[in-house]
Amino acid sequence: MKYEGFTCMDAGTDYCPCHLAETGDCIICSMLQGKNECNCNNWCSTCIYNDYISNGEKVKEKRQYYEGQIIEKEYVSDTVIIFKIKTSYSLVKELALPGSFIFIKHSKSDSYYEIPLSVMNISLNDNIIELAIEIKGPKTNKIDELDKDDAVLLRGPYWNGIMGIKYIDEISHSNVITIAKGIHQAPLVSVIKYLNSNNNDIYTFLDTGRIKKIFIEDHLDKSTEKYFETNILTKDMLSIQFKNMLLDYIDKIKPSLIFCAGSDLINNNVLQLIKNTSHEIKFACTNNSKMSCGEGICGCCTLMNNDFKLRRLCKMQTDPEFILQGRLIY
Amino acid sequence: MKVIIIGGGWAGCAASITAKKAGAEVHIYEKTDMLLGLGNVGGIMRNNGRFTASEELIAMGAGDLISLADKNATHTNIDFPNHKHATFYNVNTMESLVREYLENKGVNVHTTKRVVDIEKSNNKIKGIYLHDGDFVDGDVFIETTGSTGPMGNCLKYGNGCCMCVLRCPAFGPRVSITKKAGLEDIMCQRENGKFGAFSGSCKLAKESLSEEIRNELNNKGVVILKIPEKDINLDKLNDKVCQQYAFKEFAENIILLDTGHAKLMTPYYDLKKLRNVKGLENVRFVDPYAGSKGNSIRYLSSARRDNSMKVLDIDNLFCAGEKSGFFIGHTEAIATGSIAGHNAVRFLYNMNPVVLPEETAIGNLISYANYMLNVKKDYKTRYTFAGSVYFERMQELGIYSIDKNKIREKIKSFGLEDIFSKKLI
Repeated sequence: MKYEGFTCMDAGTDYCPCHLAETGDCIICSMLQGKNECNCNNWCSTCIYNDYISNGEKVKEKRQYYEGQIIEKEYVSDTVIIFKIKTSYSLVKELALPGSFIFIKHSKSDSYYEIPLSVMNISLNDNIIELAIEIKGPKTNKIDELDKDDAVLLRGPYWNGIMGIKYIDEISHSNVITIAKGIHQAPLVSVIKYLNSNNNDIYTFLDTGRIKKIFIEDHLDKSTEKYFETNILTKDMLSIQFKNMLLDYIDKIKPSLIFCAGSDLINNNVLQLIKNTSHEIKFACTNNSKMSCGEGICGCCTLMNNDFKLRRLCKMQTDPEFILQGRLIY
Repeated sequence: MKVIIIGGGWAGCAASITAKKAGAEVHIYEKTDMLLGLGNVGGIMRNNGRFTASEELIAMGAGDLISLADKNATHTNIDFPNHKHATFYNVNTMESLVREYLENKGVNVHTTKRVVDIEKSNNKIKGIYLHDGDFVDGDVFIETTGSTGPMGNCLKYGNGCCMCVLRCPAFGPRVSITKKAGLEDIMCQRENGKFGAFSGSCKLAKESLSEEIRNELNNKGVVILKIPEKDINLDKLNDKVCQQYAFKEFAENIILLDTGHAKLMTPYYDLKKLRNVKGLENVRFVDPYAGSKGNSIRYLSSARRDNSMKVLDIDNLFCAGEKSGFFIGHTEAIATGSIAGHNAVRFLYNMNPVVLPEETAIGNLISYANYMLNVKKDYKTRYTFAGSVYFERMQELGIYSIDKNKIREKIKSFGLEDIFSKKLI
């Protein structure tokens, strides 16, 4: 039996208590859910109720818009652009850890055009963030209209881009396997850099997918021991080739952690594969929920699986198992 | 046969001893790094009717913790306003003695393990979940999580977290197991109808007292100092848990007891005003650290139970201490805990539970508290052998006694002598 002990990614930060405290929907605090007693099983090392009352029963500051300027725009394939954007140090320093993301839009566009994007890389010396975008629809087409020197607006920082982040955080001096497909190469970068800085040996499997291009080669060369290009999926199933390679590597290097940056279909298939091995391996993956406000209000990110628990995935940090299992469709 | 005790305060420790003596495998799960909970800042034993209850426990074979506290006493046979023949134990050395005693008895003590949820099937608890996600199964469970805090309660019903010895911010808050089992917890009310009550004392660093007061405290065990007229606040008496200390003398005087620290018999006290008292010019708090501001809030989480200490509506859950009613004090926790531990094992062996007769102080307290709550719907009275309503009742019924032989004879006459020290199978 496994217990879902979850936390809130924003708990104890400058942005907690958030709007959910005011609406009676705080995902952690029973008092702020309108109950009469304090019964906090998902303790986040801070009393959100105390913070709320001592803040005059008001939410803390909202996330701000930061101005940014595009200093480089590079097409790495027909549909993928990498932007380098110079912005405020206050924002950049908050985006250093894996799972960080921001909302971006053209400075003249309406807020409907805001896109949540993983932060691929940052440079604290120059206050630059690097983002990779796959052009797909109206929002991304609007971003494609931007050129070097154009102004953008960035809303952030947000941090819940990875589920199972604690496993990435706590691992050191171990072997790790990372997997990514397509545009998910972008969130992989901060993960391999972080894991590498904690003296882990990283082995990476990549599927370029429809973008047909590895655009993070420099990072892979610097941070990983080895990387392989492969086809991860065949008709909604893990390909035989990838499955065999992965199982071989699991036996060979006995990884302590596997991080999977793919669709929930890939993430779940890899998770099930790991569970069927005799090895004890921690699993983390990208948080693929759709996001619009990033604050738990709009409801885009909510998920209800067959356990009928409502999860607000822009805030809730939980074990990927509880996100991926019990779903009818992916 | 596995007994799981949730909460390692005095009640949980007492339950572990009787359950172990009865022949079970016993595990205590405690969220902090120390056993005894608020017993780490308490220290008062054997005052008024607690003497009778202590001797009853000894006669029934559950006097282990009473004897340990007696041996670790800083002072014995002390009188202070409205209280007689008290023993004060040294709170600074008590915990390690109890821990060593339990471990030597074969009790499995798990500290820094916070229980956050349960797995239940129909009306039976299958196991507990710890904060790190681990699952622990068991056959019978005893909830002794108390009723103090957590911070949300201390804030909503008190003056906020004042950093007491439970250290919720560090170890995480108490979780009510009965609540997780789907039951409604009972909340105590103060005279003004507010829920909960303040813990009744705070502790001052002895080293911060004047030399004269410190010496007097060390020698006599009690120091009484006059509060300047302008600082007397009688209203504060209504807020405190300990109705046995809610007398005018406690509002008009600073009463210090030597429990290792200087125990100040008031829930909280403005430090600036406290320093107006002669000899306390340099004084500082050691529990709660923010003793100027408030104290922990209690009695918001009691379970409905029968007189064998079994929680109603859950087949295999017992309770003791403050979880089992609006009881105040270590002796009350040890008494209820001892019964819960023993009866939990009887439950495992399909034996009838022990229900102590109302002629005993302990049996009477347990059934009277239940009667007042369930029949009289009294949510305001707290119960202790040491004073207030229940000590008056003990005296009226002739239950109060300090004659050790007489108490043992009474226990013997009910066939209860050493009942808690016998292995059941």
